[in-house]
Amino acid sequence: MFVRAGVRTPTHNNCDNRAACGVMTEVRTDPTIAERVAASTPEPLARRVRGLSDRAIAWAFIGPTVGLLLAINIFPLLWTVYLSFTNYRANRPNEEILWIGTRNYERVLTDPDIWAAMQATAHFVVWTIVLQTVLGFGLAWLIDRKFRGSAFWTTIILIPMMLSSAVVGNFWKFLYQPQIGLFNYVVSFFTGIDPSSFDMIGSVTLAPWAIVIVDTWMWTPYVMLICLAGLRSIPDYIYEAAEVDRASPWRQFWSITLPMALPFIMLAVLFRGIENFKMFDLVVQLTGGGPGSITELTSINLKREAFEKWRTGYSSALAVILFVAVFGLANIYVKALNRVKQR
Amino acid sequence: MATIELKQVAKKFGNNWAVKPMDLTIADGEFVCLLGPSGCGKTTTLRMISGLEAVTEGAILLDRRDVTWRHPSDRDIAFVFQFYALYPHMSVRENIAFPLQAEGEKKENIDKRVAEVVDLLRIGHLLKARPSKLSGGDQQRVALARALVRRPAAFLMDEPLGALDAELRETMRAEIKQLHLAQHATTVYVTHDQVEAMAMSDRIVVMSAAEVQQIGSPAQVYYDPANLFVARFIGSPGMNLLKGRIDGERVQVSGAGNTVPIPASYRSALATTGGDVVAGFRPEAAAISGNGGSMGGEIYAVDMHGSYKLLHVSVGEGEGASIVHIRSDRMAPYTIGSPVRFDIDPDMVRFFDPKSERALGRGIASPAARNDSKREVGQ
Amino acid sequence: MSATGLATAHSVVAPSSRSRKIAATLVILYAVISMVPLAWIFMTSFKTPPDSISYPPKIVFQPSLEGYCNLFTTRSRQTPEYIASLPPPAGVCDEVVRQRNMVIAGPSNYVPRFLNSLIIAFGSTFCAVALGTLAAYAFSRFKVPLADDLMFFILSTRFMPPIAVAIPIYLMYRELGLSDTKLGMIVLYTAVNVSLAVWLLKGFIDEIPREYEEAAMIDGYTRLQAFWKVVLPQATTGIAATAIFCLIFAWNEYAFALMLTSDTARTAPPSIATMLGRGGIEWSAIAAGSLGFLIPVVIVAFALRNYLLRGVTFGAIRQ
Repeated sequence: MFVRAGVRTPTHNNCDNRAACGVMTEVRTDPTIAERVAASTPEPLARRVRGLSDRAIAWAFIGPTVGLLLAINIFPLLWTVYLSFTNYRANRPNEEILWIGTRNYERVLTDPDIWAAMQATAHFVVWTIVLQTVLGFGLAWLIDRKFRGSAFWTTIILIPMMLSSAVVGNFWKFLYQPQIGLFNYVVSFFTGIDPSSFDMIGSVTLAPWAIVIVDTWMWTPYVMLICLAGLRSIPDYIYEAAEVDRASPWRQFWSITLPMALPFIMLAVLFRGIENFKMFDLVVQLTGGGPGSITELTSINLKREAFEKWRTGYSSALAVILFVAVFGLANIYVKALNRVKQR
Repeated sequence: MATIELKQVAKKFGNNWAVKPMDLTIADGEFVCLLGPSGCGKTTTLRMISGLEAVTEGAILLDRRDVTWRHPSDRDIAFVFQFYALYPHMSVRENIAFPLQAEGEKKENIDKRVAEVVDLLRIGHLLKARPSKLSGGDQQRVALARALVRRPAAFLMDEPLGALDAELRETMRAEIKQLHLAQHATTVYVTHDQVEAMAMSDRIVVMSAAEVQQIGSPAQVYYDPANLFVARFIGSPGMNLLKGRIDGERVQVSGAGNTVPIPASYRSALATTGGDVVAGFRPEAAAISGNGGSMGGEIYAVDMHGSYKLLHVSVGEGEGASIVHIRSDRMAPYTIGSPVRFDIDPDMVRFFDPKSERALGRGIASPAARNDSKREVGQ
Repeated sequence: MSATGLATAHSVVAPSSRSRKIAATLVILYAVISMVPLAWIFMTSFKTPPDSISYPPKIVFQPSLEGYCNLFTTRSRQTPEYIASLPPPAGVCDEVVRQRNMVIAGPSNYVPRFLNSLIIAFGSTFCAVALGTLAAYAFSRFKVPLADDLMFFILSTRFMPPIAVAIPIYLMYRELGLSDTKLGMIVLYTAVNVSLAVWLLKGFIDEIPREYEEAAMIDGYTRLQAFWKVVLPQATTGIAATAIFCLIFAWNEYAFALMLTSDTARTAPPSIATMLGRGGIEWSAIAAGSLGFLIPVVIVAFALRNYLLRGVTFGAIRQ
């Protein structure tokens, strides 16, 4: 709209011919023609607007945000891309920076540590999504029964997702302590296993599950909330129609509830997938990537390379690969999601 | 096909009556409209018949079988919702086939019956589309097809045309009527539009404030309203209603010189009242009569309706002053502010008790009026 | 019909009271179980260090403020003879600490870290919401060239793993002298939050009818005045919901804080973590510190839960 406002032709001259104006308003329903008409028709209001033109306001309003994002997101990203082709080390700023082509990428992709980290990340992402989706949807479905007090209990359930994941990782580390930790005590209380016989964060087999459990505890409420929005978006009359159409409760769930809530479930999966692919703070605090590097997710690996080993060029290449992977996967997924939504 | 019987059916939400105890018997193949302003309980009544809503009291019989506490799926009824309630994630075909699939019907049977209703409603070209891509009229056709495909004992329709624009409403009204004639299916139809009710139904149930006001044919509710509410609600504008006192063979209304005739057949019925009465007549019952007429007033406004003109005449002064609507020739010239006199056809005058608001001497209106075909009444 | 709203409560699609009871039982069970870790942290914060690591874990214990004393102070070990020679303890903490043969050496850095968190979280939230409101308004009301691409660009910055840009930001901040400054952290968190803010707020502003501003402009106000006097007051709900999201993010953020701050701008999350290393693991002090850090969020979230719910569900529906 502000495109038109810049054109300072007298507005009403165009409208002297009433018939032409009438035609114009009808034509507007067609978007492509509407564009053309709009371009040649100054907004009637524009003439009355004193001060800044709409175009100036639009740029003044959008400019700072775009500028900030360029400076803090895009510029660093491009810099990362540049660094990924060099042998730069941030702890030796005075050394000469050499362009080494794609050697960093070759190193990253042939590094068994990276593949181990990728595997650990995949295990973490897949299992957290599965558990959180099943639990979250189940909870949402129960809460949608609208029992007395459901709003209060929903808010209680939401608390974990609002906490700081670093702090959460920290205190779950306490709960996971063998002997003194509450988690081990509760497990031993119900199963009779000696609480000091297993160490959730010290054992190679248990540590990957320890981080899955904590992330599920923390983020199931989020999936639940989005699923609840999906369930609430299904109007009652759809269920009434299904009743009249003699669909059994079982059939209603599979033919109506689930397919209609599916776009929301997929959205929750997308958000959790992206977040957990980037997972850093919770796991760093909980296991520090250990034991060994069993729970060293890609972000943790990256942080170690960049800020402990100071292999800046190498870690930049890894960062670019991660970014492309997240971005690419998310895009493919969004396309699939849109296909589901379009129905 | 089936009969529907409501015996003292009532619904309470908390302490409020949504529907006060009502009786209604619907014959096999009959088309009955539940008509009333919004909030009058008509939709609740329909939902109780369908089983979507539990009754508070009373019994509902479908084909003489008590279904009061049966689930909607056990009642063999179809329901057409105001906003169509099509399943948005299914194609048109899947929507129509859904009730048959739910019954576990065989695939070739489903195909055959879907094809039948699709032909009947002429929506074959839409089968693959999603409901959201269809126009309102087409969505409603699909909703009707989904209702028809199961061959239910009765159709229940909740303002099915309420969401459509005026032109489409008329088209769809005719289509539904046509379907009803072809299928001869017992149909209960909820609407707040009296034109729709008049045009479509065999009988109309007029409801207001959770109560049935009158049950009757379109002609009966139009010419012989049971009370002041029906008189006002049916017709646009509604009946002219003037307070007056009986004075021999006429009723004095709206100040000096204005009288309404009392037909001979009503005289004994009116004799029992204290003398105060509300006289009512339809706009078409008045005829402009040069200087002679029994009533007179000043033209306040003139509405052109195409085939006729509607005069708003301000009659009387002070307390008794009121606006009377008169139907008149579309060609006659009228000037706002000029005086006008008119006569009232005695056969078309009705009387109401001002306290109870009920019609006096109902049922003695001339047979001619009552036997009027509804087609002539509608508009 | 107006009765429909009421009607659904009685209708067949409403869940039966039995299914409601079962649902309530399961949901409450989940809620209670998920609260156990927090309840445990709460209890631990009031335990003495020996109680906090006893086996089996103590559910009944003598409450003590030792954890909180240790959280807010640094202490040094002294001989009992020296402690006996001191004047009587000046406060609860003095007394508690002396029983362990220690004296208070000075305040810990918990309070300054906490204040840093407050300043950075509120500062960046204010900036992100302010910038986001302006941009969202422009996207909502004006025909911005390439609007869809720009919006997608803004959103896509949200997909970026923070570590992917952390190295250059680290280098950049080192050059600009923004490393370990509150300003630097505010700018950074603003940039991270502003994308979400634009998306959420555009949805909220889209819902405000244009007619209000147009009426104001016909009445002689400029567009800026109309924006200030008509649009902003109506967008307060959306702004509040967005602000809570930004606030929670900035308050909880850990990765950037860990990499870009060391002392003057260090926030609470990375510092609570480092308390682990000092003189053995003091779980009751850690619990007290965690609790102090988590409670403000829980209070804010509870007080403003309706906004929060609206934000989550709204964001989900739009994107």
